[in-house]
Amino acid sequence: MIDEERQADAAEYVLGTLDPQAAEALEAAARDDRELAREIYRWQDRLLPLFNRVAPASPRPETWARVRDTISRPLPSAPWWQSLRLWQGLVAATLVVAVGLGVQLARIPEASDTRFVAMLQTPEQNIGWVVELSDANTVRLRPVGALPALPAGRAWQFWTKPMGASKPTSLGLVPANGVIEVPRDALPALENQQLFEVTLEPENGSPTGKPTGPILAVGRMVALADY
Amino acid sequence: MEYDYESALIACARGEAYALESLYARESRWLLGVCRRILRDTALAEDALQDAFLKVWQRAHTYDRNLGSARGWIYTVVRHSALDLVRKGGREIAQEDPHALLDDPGHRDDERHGNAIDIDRCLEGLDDSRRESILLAFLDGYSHEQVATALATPLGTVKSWIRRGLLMLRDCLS
Repeated sequence: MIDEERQADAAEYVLGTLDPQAAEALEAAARDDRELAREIYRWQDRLLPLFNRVAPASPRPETWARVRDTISRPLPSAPWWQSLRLWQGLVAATLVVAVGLGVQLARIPEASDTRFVAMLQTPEQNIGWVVELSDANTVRLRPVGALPALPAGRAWQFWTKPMGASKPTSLGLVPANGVIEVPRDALPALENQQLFEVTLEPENGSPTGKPTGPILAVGRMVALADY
Repeated sequence: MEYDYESALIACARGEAYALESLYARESRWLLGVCRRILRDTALAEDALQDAFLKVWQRAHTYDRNLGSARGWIYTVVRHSALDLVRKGGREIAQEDPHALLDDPGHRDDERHGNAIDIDRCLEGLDDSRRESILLAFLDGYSHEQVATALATPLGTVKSWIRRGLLMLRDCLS
């Protein structure tokens, strides 16, 4: 339970009457304080019905066109590793990046001449995970660089969603060292463009069988033909 | 079937542009209304809306569905974008009659039930001064100083009206 003053701060943050420094400090505090974050969300929802009092207005078509154009290309000012679109779109870039980060692409002995790799990244976090085949029958998730802090009472959960699947499949909770190995047979598929992600969930995993928490890292599988 | 704002926002976090487009198709008229009310200028309001949808896209991964609704989260992002813009521009305080706000009939008929009726009732339970201060800050985006000017009341008094008023709203709604 957070105290009354803190609750009033959360309310004023949502209302927009905190001065900029106080608002920034509260936002930062809410990243580590789940009860404070919950109180902010509560105020968002408490005040939401007041928007019914505002008259609507139709935006010009150009407004959406500008949004669409901006999100469908990587921002030139953003460092290349922070662009989610890039990860999703550019097979060649992914290969270069993988080599740049010193990723050892898994060799699949005899059975197949296809290699798979997925780089999991978020736009704002400078860490990531790699999904790769550690041998022909095992898919491994492992971190690149430092792991993010895991809040108390929470867990990382590893998911995959093949193209066209209706929902993600859980591949299990990720141990504290950030590495998990999953038998290839446990995956619904293993194919090009397949989505992998790590979400932050309650300690025992998502209660619904679907991702419920924030996405920490996400990326698509790239199938690389042998050369 | 009801539109699933939570799934749409989470799909944005995965980089699925169609999800942002569906949110925009559904909410942009209402959100532009919110921005225009704060900015009092349609062109600036469209700038704020555009900026806000980019923020929704970039920050979608920080949304946590265990904590509250996606709609509440989105409206906060949009409203804060409009507030950033209006405070940067140092808008003149409109010297209008704040009492006009109290008779605003409401526009979104499909949602004139449940929560909306609760908050209307709880606002009615507040003193006029507290209710007006909160509505000027929320709907018109006024700062403490602007509310104080509009209501010709000392700043400290306005700050206390808003803070106490919000906590009374919380007690009434819970």
